[in-house]
Amino acid sequence: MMLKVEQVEKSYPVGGLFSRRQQQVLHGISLECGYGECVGIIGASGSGKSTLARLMLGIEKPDRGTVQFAGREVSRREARGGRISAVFQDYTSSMNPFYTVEQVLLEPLRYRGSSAEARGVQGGVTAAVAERSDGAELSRVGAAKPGEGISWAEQQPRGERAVIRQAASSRGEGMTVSAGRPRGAGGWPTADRQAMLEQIDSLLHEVGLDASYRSKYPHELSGGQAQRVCIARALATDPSCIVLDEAVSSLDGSVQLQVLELLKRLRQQYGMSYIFITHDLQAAAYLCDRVVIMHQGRVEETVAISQLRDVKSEYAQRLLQAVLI
Amino acid sequence: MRGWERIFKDKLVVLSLAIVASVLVAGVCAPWLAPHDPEEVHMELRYAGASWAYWLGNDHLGRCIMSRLIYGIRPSILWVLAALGASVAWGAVIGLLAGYFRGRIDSLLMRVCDVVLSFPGYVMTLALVGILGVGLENILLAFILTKWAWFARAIRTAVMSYAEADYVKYARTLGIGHVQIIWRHLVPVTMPAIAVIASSAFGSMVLQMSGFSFLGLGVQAPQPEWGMMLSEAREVMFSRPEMMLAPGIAIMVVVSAINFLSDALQTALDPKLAASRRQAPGQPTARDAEVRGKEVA
Amino acid sequence: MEQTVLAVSGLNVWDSLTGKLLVQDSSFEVKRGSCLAIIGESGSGKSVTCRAVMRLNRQALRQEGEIVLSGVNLSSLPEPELRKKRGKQMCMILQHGMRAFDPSCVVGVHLRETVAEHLGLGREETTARLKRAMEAVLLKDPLAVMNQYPHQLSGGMLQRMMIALALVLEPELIIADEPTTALDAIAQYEVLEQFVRLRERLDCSMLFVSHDLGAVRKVADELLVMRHGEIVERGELQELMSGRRPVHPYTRELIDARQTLQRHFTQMMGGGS
Repeated sequence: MMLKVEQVEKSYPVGGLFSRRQQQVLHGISLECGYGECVGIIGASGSGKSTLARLMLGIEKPDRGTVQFAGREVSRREARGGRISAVFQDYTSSMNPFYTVEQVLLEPLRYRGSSAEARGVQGGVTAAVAERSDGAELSRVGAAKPGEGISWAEQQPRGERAVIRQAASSRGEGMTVSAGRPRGAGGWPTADRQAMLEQIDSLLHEVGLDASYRSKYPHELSGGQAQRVCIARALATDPSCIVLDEAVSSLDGSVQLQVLELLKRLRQQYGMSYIFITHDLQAAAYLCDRVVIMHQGRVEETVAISQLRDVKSEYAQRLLQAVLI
Repeated sequence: MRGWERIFKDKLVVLSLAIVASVLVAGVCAPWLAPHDPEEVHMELRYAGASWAYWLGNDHLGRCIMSRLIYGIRPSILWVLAALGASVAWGAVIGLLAGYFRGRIDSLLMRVCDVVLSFPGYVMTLALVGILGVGLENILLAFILTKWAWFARAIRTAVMSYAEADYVKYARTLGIGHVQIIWRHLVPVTMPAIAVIASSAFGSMVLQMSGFSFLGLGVQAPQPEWGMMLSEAREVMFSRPEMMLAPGIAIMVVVSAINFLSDALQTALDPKLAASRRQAPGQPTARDAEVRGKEVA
Repeated sequence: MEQTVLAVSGLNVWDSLTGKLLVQDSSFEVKRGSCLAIIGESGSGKSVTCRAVMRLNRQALRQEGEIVLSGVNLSSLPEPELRKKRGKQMCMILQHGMRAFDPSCVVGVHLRETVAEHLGLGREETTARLKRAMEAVLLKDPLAVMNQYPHQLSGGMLQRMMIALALVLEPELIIADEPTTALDAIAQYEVLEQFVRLRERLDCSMLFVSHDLGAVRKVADELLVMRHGEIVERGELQELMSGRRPVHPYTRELIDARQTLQRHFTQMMGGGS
């Protein structure tokens, strides 16, 4: 299991310095997300989904319960290391207004470089995982021995890693594929600005923008373009999971579809998982395998997309009804 | 920065900038610029009018008014600027911490600010001078001790509107530390607000310093200072009113220039105002940026 | 012969500071009892058009063109007279409920003041009518709600209160500027229901602006598609959506985007294992 949320509760203090009153936002939420899976979290405003997003990203700690990412407590920075990334709703405030697109994208790249050493690159992917269903290529490289400098898996091109992850998850084995394009044993060299600029260009290309966008400021971009830059930024750390907190809700009709298609394509290409938080069931149905329906801080129901019509809880049925506009 | 090009188009701003800049430079280079020793007494030249040797004439002790004006820039303007800088820096630190961390830290810091702010400014300064004694250093110290709280409050308000922004959340997600986030994301964004708040307080601090010196609590004779020069001119206000002109006009002109500059700074440093001059405000440039037809929206 | 409630012809709106043309030569009509929807993306000029009808754009935006409301030419009306018409004959429902109310007083104050201004009723009568209207829009416990501040109420509730106000004022034309955009799915559904019932009860005309084709399908009869300040398509909603007649490529794009998501969803619901 990649991401595991177990019985988390969260409340916020209301009132001033000496007040003891608390408002409870989450009452015992549990959910899971495996490698390569796309889970939707559906809820109305006030259901606590943004709070849950913050907990999953590790920027806040739950009062009770745990949130684990790849087996470690997510609130510890080392556990995340850029492997879980985020795209937020409000594209007007998602980027520092003083930064150009280039500087916005440099931030995660610089971080990735400086933390590659700190995270340590992990080895020890077993030969069992290395076999693909057709038994071809991967097995010829063999496995890295535990403690070796670079994980064998990382030497594979990005697309291959997706396959490996899926194979790993289907066998029930977790895998820690650290981010970063390996260069010798040290990880990404931070001083190599030229390489980072190339990386930026390739990221922009991935999301359908060309290199001329590098020098633009956030307020010069339209909604769709800004969200694409945010998606590029989320991709920059080579994440296993991206949390999309109402990422398409502020976009107009056809732009929304374009961004959803982009997300779909990226997922097929890189095999990362999404946690898609939204109030729009249709958009979630387009992208997700499974949805978790939240209401007032509790999980009402969890249902696979293909079984959507069989929802039992009353709130879920109201949601369904609201969609058929 | 892009903002500077636009600033220089406004004539009033250019004039103000010129005045303030030249005053600051003159103050720093006083020993080389002043034609005479500001404290040199020439009793035979008492109340002399303007002459070729002494451009602005002489005061009641025959000292060169021009030189005194130039040397007076140091305590009146330069030292005040230093005190302003220290006060704003300290206030900014407190404001940034309070605005970023919120919660109980914010409440605690703001209660401390409230306590400091509840003492009236002038009275506090007078009290501190009373305890510590008269002199330039003590007034500056009093300024720093009383004014930081106001800056902290104002800066906290500016920080709060940015600390909840999604780009800060993203930086936290990456795992960047709090100090780095504050330095890299919040300081640049609140710098316009800090600059405007600081520059708007600068004018009033110059006036206050002159005021205290006028009352005899600041710089002591024979050191020149604009407020003190006004005080000396007060004694001969009716017989020789022209004595008040030089320091009075100097104070007015410089403080006005500072205030105009402070307004211009606000427009220059706001990135949103920057672009909105080039295109219609509120209209995205999606129209201009149709890069690949349907593919990019 | 159907009467026309609103006739706009040759509307041009431009920004006097930059010279940019925001709305170009717009002409359209809203017939009595019918609902005209204006669809477009951000920056297409639809909200500017709405506000231009009521002459509520900010100072820098200048407009020219004829705007005739029930036979009266609004563009030449002096401001005090126009103010009387706003609210009584034309009612506006905005996108952000919270911004539409004064944050420093309870919503009841705003509602009562507006009703008193236009209908001149006494306090009891005003409260009674408001109460009835709020019950009609399914707001439970109207008197308690009227004593809340805007920030204490949800977006959906605030929108319903604006609709309740419209019910009391009984205007000829209701202009709704993206009323459901800021709401989540369930609130959106409920508010749209209220719009439909509002139309049934008052038999008024409506100008409904949105970027969401799904939202307008429930409420609108006719459709106007705007792009970059120009009207690129107009016609009956059903006809355009059904594909029976050829449409502008931009309209096609919008309809397709909508239908792609919908088709996928229906597939998930109906098909699948």
